[in-house]
Amino acid sequence: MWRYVGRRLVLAIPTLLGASIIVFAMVHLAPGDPIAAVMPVDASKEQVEAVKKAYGFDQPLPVQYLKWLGRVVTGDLGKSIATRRAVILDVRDALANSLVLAASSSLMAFVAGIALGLLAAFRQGRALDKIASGIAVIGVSVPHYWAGIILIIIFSVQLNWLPAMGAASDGGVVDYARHMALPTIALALIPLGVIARVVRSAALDVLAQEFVLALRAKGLAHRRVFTHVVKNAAPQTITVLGLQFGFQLGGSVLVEAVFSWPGTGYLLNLAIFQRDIPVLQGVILVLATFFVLLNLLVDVLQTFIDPRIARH
Amino acid sequence: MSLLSVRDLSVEFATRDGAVRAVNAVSFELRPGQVLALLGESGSGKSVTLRSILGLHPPVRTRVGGEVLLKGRDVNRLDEQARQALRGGVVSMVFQEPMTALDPVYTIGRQIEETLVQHRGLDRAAARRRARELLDLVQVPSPERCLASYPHEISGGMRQRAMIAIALACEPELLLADEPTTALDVTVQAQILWLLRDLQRRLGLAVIFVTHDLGVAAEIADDAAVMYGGRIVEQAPVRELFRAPAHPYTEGLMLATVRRGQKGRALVPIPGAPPNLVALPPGCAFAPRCPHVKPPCLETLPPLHVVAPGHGSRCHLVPARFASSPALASSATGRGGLS
Ligand SMILES: Nc1ncnc2c1ncn2[C@@H]1O[C@H](COP(=O)(O)OP(=O)(O)O)[C@@H](O)[C@H]1O
Ligand SMILES: [Mg+2]
Repeated sequence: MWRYVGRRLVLAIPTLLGASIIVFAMVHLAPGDPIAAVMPVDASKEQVEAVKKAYGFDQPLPVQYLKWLGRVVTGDLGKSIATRRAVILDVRDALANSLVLAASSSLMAFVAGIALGLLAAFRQGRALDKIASGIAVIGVSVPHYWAGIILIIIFSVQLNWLPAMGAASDGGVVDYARHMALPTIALALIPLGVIARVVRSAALDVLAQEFVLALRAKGLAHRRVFTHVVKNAAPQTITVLGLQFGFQLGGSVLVEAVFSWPGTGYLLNLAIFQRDIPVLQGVILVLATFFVLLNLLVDVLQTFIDPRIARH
Repeated sequence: MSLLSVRDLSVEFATRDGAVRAVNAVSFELRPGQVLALLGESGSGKSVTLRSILGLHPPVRTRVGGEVLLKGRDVNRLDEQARQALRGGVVSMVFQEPMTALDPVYTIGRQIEETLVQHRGLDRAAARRRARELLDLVQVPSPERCLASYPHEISGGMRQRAMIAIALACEPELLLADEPTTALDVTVQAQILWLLRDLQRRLGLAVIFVTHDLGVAAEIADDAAVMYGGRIVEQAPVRELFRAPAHPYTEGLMLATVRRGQKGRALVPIPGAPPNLVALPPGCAFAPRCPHVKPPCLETLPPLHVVAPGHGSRCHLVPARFASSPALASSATGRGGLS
């Protein structure tokens, strides 16, 4: 088992290197000159050269890459062009905020999605199934930024129950949670719908198998049969949970923008508009690493649950 | 008293194409320790009949009529909890394909133990001990390893032995075996068959053994019932059925089957196709394929004619073809089983 985990970790390295190359190349592929963006318009040629040298832009690309990679693995992601703060600090704060939001919205989506999916499967073809499936369809088809705006209109503007903007970092936990509520709901909608549908179809696949009949035939109580079905549907469900959690981290750009939630999506947004390439690189690199590790975790969990998946 | 009494059982499934009449007015009795072979082509309603005995049908779009009396109690009138106590406790089932009938993500041990925990309320340690004994009972060579294995890790024969161990875990009085050897390798088939026969004798089990293999039926059963189009068309003690079949469908089945000591005889398949259960004809369902068909066969349902004591046949031609048989004087009609 641990050998398997170790091997998967080693296999993740080329993927991460690939991601780092793409991220590094961004500087040179991106339209516009990052140096020009930060220099005064009337800067002299010497001044521009000095800045280029300071950033290492005068060296050959492979050398630049290796130097950059060497810094990155020690946690040095450079300085923000716009704020002059170390990128790692910005990314760290943003990641913390995004993780909190991703965790809360994922938790909400997982619990509600799994419950809805199982309910629909065990009541297949009946009214409850149709209601649950209807909620799932609405969840996946409503754009989350639009849902976010609607939520703001209802709960912030009309009812004035919850704040619409920011993360209130100065306030206490309650204030933080109040700021989190609406973006959490907006972000939970899509994964909720996706998870409900995947869980429903996975559970139906299991329910159609003969061993469920055999379990009933030996007199097993409903709740024990239910446990069997859940355990059989779990590998498929965990895959989708992992992916959805990953999407929550990376896919919240619009929702974070709508709610001005200072997470990675918001930071990414900001970096794009300010042409802040080091920040952009840092955010993308950290997110990519997260995705790879998350996939790994999902695979490992699956082999723990389903003995049929070979562990070599 | 009979252990099982099925009276006028009918099962209908509502489907997009119409009502599938899978089982129609089936009646039979089973004494403790009696072995009944249920014969017939696939699709004749054998499995549905067995599921009715367990009260296990899809909860929607299914209509069940008649009675299934297990030790005098109607399975269909019991609440779910009482039914759960019967299933596995009084009657259990062995399935055709042990690979699909076992949960792939639970070990064999867990699957035996949970049955014991459910019915006997044993703790884990006691359940484990009993599970081991059960694997000994079904002659699994290395029980400890089998207990720790997942279904895909052991052979088909071992899986079926494990399935039988689960079925026998709580000492049922009636075992429903739905083609338990069909999915296995030929050499393993015989082993499982001998095991079941041995267990039946040692434990005094009543067994309903579904098969479409007449040879198997002859080896294991006391009586045999032949199903066609959801009906029992002929029922008799097994020897009697082989010696003097009294339904053209039974005769056809015999001609279509290899039997011991008859090597070299040409096999004659029954021409035509099984009936459409959505649109069963008003007369005998076998009439369209019957070599002896007469006009009344297409119009009215044949009553149950008694050919000999304990031997009945639903064929209009019985009086004409077996006129010499004295038992015909008391020819019964309509519903009612033979016992
Ligand atoms: N749940 C169901 N819904 C619709 N038709 C069914 C259902 N279960 C069984 N049937 C039909 O009932 C008929 C009898 O099936 P079965 O008892 O499995 O036959 P067999 O004698 O081969 O065991 C078949 O035509 C089958 O398609
Ligand atoms: Mg069958």
